[in-house]
Amino acid sequence: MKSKMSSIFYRELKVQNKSLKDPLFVIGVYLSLLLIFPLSLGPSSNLLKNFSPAIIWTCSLITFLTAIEKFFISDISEGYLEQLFLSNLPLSVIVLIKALCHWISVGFPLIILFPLISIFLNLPLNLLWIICFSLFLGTLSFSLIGIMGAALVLGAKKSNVIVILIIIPLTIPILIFGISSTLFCLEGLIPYSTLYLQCMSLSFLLAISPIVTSSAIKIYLE
Amino acid sequence: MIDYLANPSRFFRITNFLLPWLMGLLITLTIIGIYFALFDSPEDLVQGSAVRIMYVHVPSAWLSIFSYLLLSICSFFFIVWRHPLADILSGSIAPVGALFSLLTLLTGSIWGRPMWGTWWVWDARLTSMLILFIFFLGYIALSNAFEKNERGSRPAALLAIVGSINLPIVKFSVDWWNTLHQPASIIRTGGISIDQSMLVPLIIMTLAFHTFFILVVVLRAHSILIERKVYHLKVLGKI
Amino acid sequence: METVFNNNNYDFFIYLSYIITFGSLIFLLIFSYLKFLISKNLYSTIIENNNDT
Repeated sequence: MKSKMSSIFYRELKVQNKSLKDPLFVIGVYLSLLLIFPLSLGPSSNLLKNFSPAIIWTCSLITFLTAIEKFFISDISEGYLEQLFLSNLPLSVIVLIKALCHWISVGFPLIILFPLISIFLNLPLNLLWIICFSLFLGTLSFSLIGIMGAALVLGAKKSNVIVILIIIPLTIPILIFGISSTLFCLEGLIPYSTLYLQCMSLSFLLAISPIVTSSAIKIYLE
Repeated sequence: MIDYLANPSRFFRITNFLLPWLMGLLITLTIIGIYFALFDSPEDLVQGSAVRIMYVHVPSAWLSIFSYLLLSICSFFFIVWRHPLADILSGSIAPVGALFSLLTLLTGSIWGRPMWGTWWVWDARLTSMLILFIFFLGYIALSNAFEKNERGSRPAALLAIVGSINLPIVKFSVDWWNTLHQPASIIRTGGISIDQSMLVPLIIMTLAFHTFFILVVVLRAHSILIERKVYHLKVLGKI
Repeated sequence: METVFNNNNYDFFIYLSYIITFGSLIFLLIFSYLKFLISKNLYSTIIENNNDT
């Protein structure tokens, strides 16, 4: 079973990052979204510092939402999803592996890049690692919610509009907790309470999202 | 009793019988309610006659929460027991709930303009109501997204269940976020301890709105039932 | 008993909110009722056609 899981894991990684340039594209999307905010707010550093938590988290959310409804399409057209369904591995585990690979492809480059982004936004650098940790918790939650939304709209027409409408109310608590963590960090305090809240929502999503996603995939495959 | 009503054709017959009565009850309650709300009830000391908006705003808010709860319960029944009528009821409740949450937002905003001076403020309850409205929109979008309407019922029910667990978390987080960024002025809500002369129109309007809810949900459920019957007859080639 | 007289005129807002509320509710009611009548009509014509053939 472990070899099956690791083979699925490596295959997912290869599919989602067809070349080594894919993480660069993700970083490019994030940077271009990030670019909008200083251009619209004006170059004075005060406004930017006040808005920087919101900017970081909103841009990461939009980066996660950009390709999410196409998440299962290549698997379905190749018949890979039916193969996975027939294998001995429970569908929830497969969904967890897929979500983890999605995070590695999209969220991990963002977190690696974060020190550079903090220079762009003129952020104080002392609690940088805690912001990275809260970003890690938040982006993992975004991956789990995104894969759940993508599974719910499998086979629908106009799915790109519906998936965003579904996902955004679900991500609002995570955004609120994450932005509060970042806000506290920027003021120099270690945000224990909001980090606990972020861990709570992540563990909740780790429990709920694979179940709902596998039910939705089974509904599609019927 | 749920099992007794759960048979679709029995649901059909019973509600067919009840429809004229419900309509009559709705008209009576609405007329009495409007009379009490607009003419017979007293004015507030501070708010003046603008308190009359409360008689429309509060029942809308209660009904939107009520329809959201009923939607989650019906979706839960549908996922666990695969009952076809539960899915039809959820589909009927969703547009009504969306309308009520939108009305809560609109009447609250209109009430807020003379009271607080602004059309909108990012209060915890207003933000939660806005998220509830978006949730209803998402549910309606998902259940109508597929070519065969019955294909959309189970994903939409899953979404409703996840949303029902998520919405208390949203309420908690928005409350917490609001206390974190408390605005300088304290927003005055409608009176907490309410006088009996104001309670009567409120209760009557709430009952009228509930009757409206039952009437419209039953009408929509009927049409959906008939549409599905016709679709299945077509598929079987009987037509 | 002295009555407190409030100089502000909120009538516009009250009328606006009541008209929006009841207008949209009546609209939804009429819409659902029309849907109901149309589907009932459809079903009865289908039953008639089936009984004829």
